[in-house]
This record gives sequence, structure tokens and C-alpha cells, in this order.
Amino acid sequence: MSFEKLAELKARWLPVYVVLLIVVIVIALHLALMYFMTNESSYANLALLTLFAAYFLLTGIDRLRKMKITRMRFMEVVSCENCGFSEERNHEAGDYVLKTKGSCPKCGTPLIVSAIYSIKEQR
Amino acid sequence: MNGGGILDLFTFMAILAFFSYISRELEIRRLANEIELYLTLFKAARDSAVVAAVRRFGELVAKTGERVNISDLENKVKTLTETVEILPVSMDSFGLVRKVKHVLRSEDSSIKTEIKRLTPLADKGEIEVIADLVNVARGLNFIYKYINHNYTLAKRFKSYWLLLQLNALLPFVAEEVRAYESAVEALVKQVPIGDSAGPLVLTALAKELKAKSVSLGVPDTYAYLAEYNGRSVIMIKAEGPGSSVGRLDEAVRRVVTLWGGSLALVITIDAMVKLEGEVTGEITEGYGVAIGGVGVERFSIEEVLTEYGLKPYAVLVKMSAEEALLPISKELYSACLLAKERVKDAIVKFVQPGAVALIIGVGNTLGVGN
Repeated sequence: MSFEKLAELKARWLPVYVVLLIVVIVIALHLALMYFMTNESSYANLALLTLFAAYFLLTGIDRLRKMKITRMRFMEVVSCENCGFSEERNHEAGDYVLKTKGSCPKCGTPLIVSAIYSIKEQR
Repeated sequence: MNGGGILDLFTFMAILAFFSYISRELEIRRLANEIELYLTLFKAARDSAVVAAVRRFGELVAKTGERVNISDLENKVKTLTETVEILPVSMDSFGLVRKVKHVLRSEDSSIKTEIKRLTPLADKGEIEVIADLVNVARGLNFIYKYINHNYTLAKRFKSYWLLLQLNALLPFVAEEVRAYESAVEALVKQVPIGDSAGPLVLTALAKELKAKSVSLGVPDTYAYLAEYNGRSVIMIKAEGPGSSVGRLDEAVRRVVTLWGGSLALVITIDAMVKLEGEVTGEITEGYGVAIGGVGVERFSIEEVLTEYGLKPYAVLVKMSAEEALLPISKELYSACLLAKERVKDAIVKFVQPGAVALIIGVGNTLGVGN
């Protein structure tokens, strides 16, 4: 699915962006230090340009970080019409609403799948 | 006048023009890269839908004991996903609805017949699920091809504006693609989707009223009869738990023929597309027939209700267009239970004791039994 493709992209590009950001910040600090030591304005200009590059990389990282991959977990509720017993379980393939499934642990009456729904999980 | 000054000015202007050109080229490159990323995702979504359909097909073919030829199945599914529907000419609108209905029914039955031919042991529900998987793959295939067509055109003519428009639209298209993808998951696992709200409300009501099933003789449609506070309640929905929307218009005509004189109210329960800012799961009521789609069934039901002077009423569960295709969430399920109470209130409010109310659970009955 495209979610997997997104996860693959995120895993591939996030470390690259982080390493580049660290390198650019180190260069910017070095240039700033050189400016304070020599008082040459060209160092300040270069430091400013490098900081722009750092900002560009930071926005890239932020965009990748915000790329949430949503997964769904399916749940079902089985209930007993006789005694009112009800339980939330993980959905099993082939189950559907109103399907008779097993018997009630309290009174032995057949249980009915009364609801199936999804819960979103983000990573 | 100093000649160097003019040269400086020309140099400055040339640099300015160069940077303006470069900036535009870079912007085109950025837009193209973004669109290409979206296209990669759309293609992956389309391919995964095809793979899901082929896998499901394979499982059902394996049931027959025959050797499963995956590449052969894949070719057949791909052929099905490439089919197009050609709606009738609308220049002369007389009888158009009947013609559209005929085309849609023919398309539906042809796809199902083809699936049945390939998997003779599959039951009705399984065939419906595969047919819908194929339809989802068709939808995703169309989106991918259409976006790719526009992108290729824009790139060929280096049209900045076309790329810009396409790029602006893509986040919305991506939402739709994600909803389609989730629909694939719902179909494979056979769990109800947002659009199943109508049938879910109806089954919950039928269960609560301990309704008995009645036969109307209409294919793909299921009917119940119950008593509620001295009123008779007839409930109809698509036959589950496969992926079907039933033939509700034919069922309504049948019910009106059988109970015509005593029918007092027709309530349709359906999912409604909310506006941005509205809350998912909000229940709203309205007057009229609530059925989405092309409008063929709505037209037929409106015809019957007008002919017999029956009052149409609607109970609607609000959700986004994407949520209608996504597996139903817990909050939407809770909303269905609230909608059931609203339906009961409407029956008491608008139907006199001794009269009959017809309740229609509109939508796909995927994962909802009878």
C-alpha cells in the first residue's frame, strides 16, 4: 500500500536530512566564529547563507516528522441477548455483524457479534 | 555619460533576468518532483488493490481444486480494471434514468458473471466482495491514469500553471486515494465501512424490535417486519454480509404494492457528507429521500412516493467523503445507535397507531448480516 511507500520514504530521507542539518549548523558556527575573530564581513554573509540552508533542511525534517502513518485495528463486540454479557475482542476474519459466535460464558446462550469497528493507530 | 554605467546596468538586468528564469525553472522542478511523488503513491495504491483482488481470486479458485495461475488471474483482473462505463446520451433526457439504470445493472451483472465463471464455487457474498475489489482497483487506476495524463501534458508543454493547479489539487486526491485503499482493507476483511451506517442502524433496530424476516421476492434485498408501540414497521436493506447496496427501489415498489393503503411514512437512513468544521457522527433529520450514487434509485423511489402520496423522511449520519469509504470508526458506530433512537422517535411522532412505517437502511451492507 502507499502507506508502506511513505514509511519507506520517511526511513530513507530522515537520516539524510538530520546529518545534513548537523553539518550545515557546524559550518555556520565555524563561519560565525571566524567573523568574530577576523571581523571580515564575508564570513558573516556566508554564515547567514548557511543558516538559510539550515532552515530549509529543518522545514524538510519537520515535514517528514509530521508524515503520520495511520494503521487500523479492527475490533468487534460480542454480546449475549439473554443475560446482557458483552465483550470487546479483536476482529477475526469472516466475522460480521449479527453472526452467531460461540456461547456466553455466563449463561451458555449463543453470542452474537453486535458491532465491528476500527480504531486508528498512528506511528 | 559614462559607458561603464550602461554596461553595469545591462549586466545587472541580465543577471536579474537569469535569476528570474532560474527561479521559475527551479519552481517547475519542485512542482514536478512533488507530483511525481504523489504519482508513485497512487501507483502503489492501484497495484496493491489489484494484488488484493488477484489474491482473493486465487483463494477462491484454489477452492475448486484447480491449479492457480497467478499471472493469468492478474491479466484477467487488469482487463477488468481497464473496463469503462459509457453512460447514455443525455441530449434527449426522456427516459434517461431508465437507460442509466439499465447500463449500470448490465455492468454490475456482467462483472459478477465473469467472476462467477472464473470461481464457480464462490458464494454470492464472495463474488460481491471481489466485484467491489475490482471496482476499487478501477477507481484507483482511473485516478492514477488521469493525474499522470495531466502531469505528462503539463511537463510536455512546460506549463507552470497546469503543474501549479495539479499540485494544488493533489492533497485532496490523495485523501480520496487513501480512503479507497482503506476500502480495500475493509473489503478483504469484510468489515463495515462508513457507508454501511444505514444497514447497521437498520439491523440494530430489527434486533431490538425482534423483527421477523419477510420475503419480498426482490434480489439482493432483505426485509423485516416488526411491531413498535402499536405500529407496524417494515424494514428493508441490502442482503448482507457481502458488499451490496441491494435493489431498494424495487423493494419499495413491492412494499407499497403490498401495504400501500396503510403506509404512513417512509424513512431513509443514510450516511451524509459533512461540511468541513462539522462533527463526524452528528445526526441530522430531513425531508426527502436520502440515497446517494448516480440518482437512479432515488428517482425511482421518489416516483413511487409521489404516486402514492407518501411522506418521505430521512435520518442522516454525518461523515466526510473519506470516512464513508473507510472501515467504520467507533464514534460512527455510536452515532448509528443514536440514529436508531431518532428513527424510533420519528415512528412515534409521525405514524399513528395501527399504521405502517417503512424504514430503508441505505448504503453498502458490507460486514452487516441479516
